Amino acid sequence: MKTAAPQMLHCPLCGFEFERADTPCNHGCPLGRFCKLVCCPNCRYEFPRAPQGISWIHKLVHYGRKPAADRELLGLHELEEGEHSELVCLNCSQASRRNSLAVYGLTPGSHLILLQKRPTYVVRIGETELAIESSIASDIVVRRRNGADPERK
Amino acid sequence: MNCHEPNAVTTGEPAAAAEQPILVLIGNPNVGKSVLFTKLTGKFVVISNYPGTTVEIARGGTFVGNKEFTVLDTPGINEFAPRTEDARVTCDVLRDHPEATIVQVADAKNLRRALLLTLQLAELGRPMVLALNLMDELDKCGGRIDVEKLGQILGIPVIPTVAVAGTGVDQLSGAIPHAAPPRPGLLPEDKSRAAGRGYDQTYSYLRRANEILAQVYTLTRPPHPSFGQRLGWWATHPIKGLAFVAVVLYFTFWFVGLLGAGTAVGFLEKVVFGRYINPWAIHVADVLLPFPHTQDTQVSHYSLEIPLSPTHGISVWDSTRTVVAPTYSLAPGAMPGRWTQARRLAHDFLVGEYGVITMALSYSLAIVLPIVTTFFLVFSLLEDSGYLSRLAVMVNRLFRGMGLNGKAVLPMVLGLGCDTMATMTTRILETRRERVITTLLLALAVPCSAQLGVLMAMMASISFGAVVFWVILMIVITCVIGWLTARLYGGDPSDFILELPPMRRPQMGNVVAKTFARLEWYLKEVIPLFVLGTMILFVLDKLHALDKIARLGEPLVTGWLGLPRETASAFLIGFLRRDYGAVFLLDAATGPHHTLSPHQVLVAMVTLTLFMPCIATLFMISRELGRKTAAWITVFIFPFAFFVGGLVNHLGSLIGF
Repeated sequence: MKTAAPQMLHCPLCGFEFERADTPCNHGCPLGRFCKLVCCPNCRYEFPRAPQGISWIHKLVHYGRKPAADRELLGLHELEEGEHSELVCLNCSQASRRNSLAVYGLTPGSHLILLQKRPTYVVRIGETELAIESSIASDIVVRRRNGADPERK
Repeated sequence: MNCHEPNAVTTGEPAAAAEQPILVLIGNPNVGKSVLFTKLTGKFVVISNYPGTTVEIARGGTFVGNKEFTVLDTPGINEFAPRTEDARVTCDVLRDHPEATIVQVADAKNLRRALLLTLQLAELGRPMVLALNLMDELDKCGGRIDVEKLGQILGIPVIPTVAVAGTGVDQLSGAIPHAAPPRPGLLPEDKSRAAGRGYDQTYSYLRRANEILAQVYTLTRPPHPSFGQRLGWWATHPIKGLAFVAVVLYFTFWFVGLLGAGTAVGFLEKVVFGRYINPWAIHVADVLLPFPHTQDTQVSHYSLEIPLSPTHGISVWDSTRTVVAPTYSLAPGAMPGRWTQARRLAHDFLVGEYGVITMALSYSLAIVLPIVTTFFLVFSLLEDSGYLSRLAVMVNRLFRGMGLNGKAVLPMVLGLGCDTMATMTTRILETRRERVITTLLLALAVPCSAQLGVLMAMMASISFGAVVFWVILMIVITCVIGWLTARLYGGDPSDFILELPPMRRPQMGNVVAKTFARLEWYLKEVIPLFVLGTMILFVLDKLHALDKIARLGEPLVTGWLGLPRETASAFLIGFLRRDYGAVFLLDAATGPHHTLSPHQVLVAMVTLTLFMPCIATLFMISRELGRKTAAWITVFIFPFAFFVGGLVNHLGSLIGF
């Protein structure tokens, strides 16, 4: 039921980033849902997905050491708390969601400050402080801007 | 669908007197429309620092010069399109009054969003005035607006105001005759509105708003955030926020649970009613309606305490006195005639055991009033400070599991004050699905303050562990039933996008006025129901029907719930108001001749908490969600309450509690 952000997979061979749904071996495989292999749609390299338990331990060990995403365009959820950014586009599938964000001033070119990430994302646009949940935050594509808001920490 | 299309839903608003011109206050949520309405008309409407409080249209009158205007206050909207219930109401008001002058109230700090609305309203071509409210907050955050230039750009009068302090209200009244339609050419050239209202139009209007903003608005942010800002951040911090919740909960518990339900109830019940009003009423009734009898007396012991914890307190004043009780014994050998019997009946009706004064009024005024007053006072404080929307942020994840989102926290917390009021407030939720789930949970497991008070008094006779069990059981039932209903209903929770208003120091005048407004509503609802309930009991008692009902309900009450058969009348009256039913059990649990064991008290508490709150709530559910849904909710609640009560009884017996 949850409309969580799709989990992105990285091909260890070619570095291509894709979603689970994009894997070419999804259909017709006799192993069906028991198959733990993922096939990269770019280079067709097959690799096993890390089991959930291990990825949980990995997260625990690397807690707080998350490498900053260094791509130019990122989801709002990938920013650090206190970071300034510029909204590039709203990647929402539903027009109503896009509009309900726009009426608060979230339109391309607007300046956002991510105030906090937990328990819910809070962003500031101008003088408006807006709480939005993570599934919506990942739909907001932004570009980092210089300047930080250290007082919020 | 555009607002001014003819096929929009009608509000059924009565058309105002034909000659009287109309002013409609429109603006974004939480910008002070209701305060301005109060200042213009002198009429009070419930105002709060929580977006979406005005769910109904308030009407009032104001004089501009020597001409009287009708003023309409509308719910706050973020865009002029009927997507939510609030916006629909606002759109319908404008459609029903095509000749009305629009007074747009704007948050001066948030000019961009106000201008978006101005541009959308400009499409209508109606005479407008723009009130730039909250100018004091703009000053504090270092912003400046060139008001004159803004007026020139828009082509309408622009008046800076601070509605709370009353600054600029006279100038606003003075500007109303000069209201003009916004300048032609104000709207963006690309005419994206031809494509209908939606994201593209919002985007192009926002760009236009930004152009205007660049000409009139400057901001020099102060170097350090204010204390209010910091407090707001703490309140939503994952760890500090939890501490904040704990402090707020403890304060509420102390103020409502200990001071209101303990000290104030004790004083009113034992001293004011027990020693003065009831004996005095009995005395007056004895003089006016004489018949041969001797009134019983009882010893009343009272100790005034400042509470520190549920069991400890600082004793301030102790007193013991013998007072007249509402029970009596007939004079021996008296052979009352018909008239004497009639007098006795009237006497019993007023001041007997189930008398209107000795039972209905003393319960509603002595037990309910202090608890409800203290609760609404705390609620108004929280609401005005801007904390409630931060609480919504903290509980969003929990509520998601129940198919709701954090916004449902407002009706749920208000439900602890009055479930009927809270059922009406569910209108702030966006989808019918969320309203149905919230309403069901309110009716099922959220006890209103009157009931909480009675329950707290009952808790005195059970162990601390049993109280914790009761609390946990209610939370578990709320979560499980919420989760199940969400599954049965299907669909996804609506998006959680909530504006966090700035934390403000609550205005004491507003808090008190709001508490009174809510109390008035509550008492109007409660006292007639209490009197009606007492009258029904009185009639049943006189017809000796209470005993028959007790026998009828025996299999359920004695067999399944394991309670004495006399408690059947409590459940019967619990259909009318569950707290009133609980008052009966309170007597059986803690009264001088208490008959219930702690195990039975717990079973009774659980069963009654899960009952429908009161008949008024049922009417409200049927008004808000339709008769069919109300019927379904009722059909579910009562059997479920008895089912869980019986389960607690049998499991409790099994483990030897």
